[in-house]
Amino acid sequence: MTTEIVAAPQRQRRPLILWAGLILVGLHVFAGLLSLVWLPYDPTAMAGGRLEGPSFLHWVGTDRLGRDLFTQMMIGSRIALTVGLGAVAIGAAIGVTLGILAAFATRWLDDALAATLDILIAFPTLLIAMLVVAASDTANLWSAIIALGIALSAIVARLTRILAKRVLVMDYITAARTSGSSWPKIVAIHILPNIWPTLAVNFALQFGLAVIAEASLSYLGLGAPPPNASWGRILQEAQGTVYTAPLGAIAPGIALVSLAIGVNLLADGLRDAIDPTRRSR
Amino acid sequence: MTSLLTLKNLSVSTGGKTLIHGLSFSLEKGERLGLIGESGSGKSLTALAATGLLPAGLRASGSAILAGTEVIGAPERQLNTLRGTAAAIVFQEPLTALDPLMRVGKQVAEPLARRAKRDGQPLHSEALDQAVLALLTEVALPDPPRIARAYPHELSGGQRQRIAIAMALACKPDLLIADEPTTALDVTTQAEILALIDRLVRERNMALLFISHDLPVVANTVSRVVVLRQGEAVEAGSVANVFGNPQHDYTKSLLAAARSFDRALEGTP
Repeated sequence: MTTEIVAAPQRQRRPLILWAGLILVGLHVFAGLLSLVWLPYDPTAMAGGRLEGPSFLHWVGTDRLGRDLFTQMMIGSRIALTVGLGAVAIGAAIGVTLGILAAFATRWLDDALAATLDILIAFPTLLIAMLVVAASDTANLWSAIIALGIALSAIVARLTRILAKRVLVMDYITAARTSGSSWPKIVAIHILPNIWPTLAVNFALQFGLAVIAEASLSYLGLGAPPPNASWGRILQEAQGTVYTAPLGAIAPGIALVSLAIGVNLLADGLRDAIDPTRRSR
Repeated sequence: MTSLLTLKNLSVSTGGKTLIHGLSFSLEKGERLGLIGESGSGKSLTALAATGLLPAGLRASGSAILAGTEVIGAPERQLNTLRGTAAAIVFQEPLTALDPLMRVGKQVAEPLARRAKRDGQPLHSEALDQAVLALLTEVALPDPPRIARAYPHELSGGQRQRIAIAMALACKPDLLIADEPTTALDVTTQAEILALIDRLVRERNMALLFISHDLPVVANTVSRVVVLRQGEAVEAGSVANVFGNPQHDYTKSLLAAARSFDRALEGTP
């Protein structure tokens, strides 16, 4: 009797995830970049009648002031990507630094840091962001990005601390120290690469969180001020007319969800592509 | 200064519990010493304490002089210069001793480049690649160029242990500490790795501190042994004396256990 060994079907699925993520994120990146140099209409001018439905001239219709919604959504893509990247970059810079420091700290300092992080994490991200925005004089896009970055950093720091501690007890760290490697070098070539796959997935989740949180802030009037067409503000403006022109609320919602899912799929796919232990020989 | 490693009254403790009690022995240049005892007897801790690598929370007292430098209480910077040159460790579990995300060639290149830089003759890309391949050849790995490009999970346990040995050799240490280097391997591979360590220690004239619970392995590898029990040295001397005429009950029981294991293998009651 012979047994045929069949390769696990999982391998086939992976590139698909990567491609789906690339396409979703790519569409938003394309729209966002294009909005810098070309827009179908002037985003602040009346381009047609009020609350028009979708047509060849206005792909997703117009809002209650007669502005083209598709134009605003393109700008929304740009704002969402800026917020996501900015907040995750700030959160990663603060969080990874703190987490690595905590992993190396003496027990007393480590406990203090861990307790502080736990308290910070207990606060909802949006609440921290609202506090920071409220504390700054004017609501603008950058105060929102910084606020979200700070709010996200606590989660990154805690995750980094735990992951780094797990790597620190491995024999190859001791081996590197035996051969005279300095700590900064060990962090750079051993610890960061080994905690990166898990962090990357977390960053993608946080990117989605940040985009949605910014939309929430804008919805509440704490994000990018008009005439910046954030998806959250488009949603808020469409609220009053949601029964007569539902597309005005549905379109930015779909945009939000597609970007959040796209980034997650992309991160999943990238992690598998980067991690050699998940690749076939 | 003929003694490479001298432990005097070395103790290691954590939170009021003493793990090693006043251990003393010394190791000359080119000498081979075995450290034996059951799991948890403090063998590996002794090696870590001697190189100043004790995990946080463990305190060492007494004296450990490695290549003329007092290790206990020495600042990290001083230890760093010592570690790259005086001693290198080969660990028990070859899978965790290698970084899973780095090609093994690069892992061998790291200590090699550092040692070369310290010697004032920095190696650059091509010379470094050549030196890595030479080391892989020295530890008898087949097809070094292919192995150098592999990741640890693509190699067998024996091959990984050879890589770990190559990394230790890259430091050109005077003292090679082998912490149960064959325990995680199957018997055939064990014999090969032991022969390799034996050959390398002889060729490079290194001293060897061989840590194991496997008495026959120790007997074949080293000339002198220290028997550890619950952090205390219960017996020390040449292999022939300690194994041939054990004085302490614990050594006798270790030998009896090894003999009964042999008898079980041979099928006699």
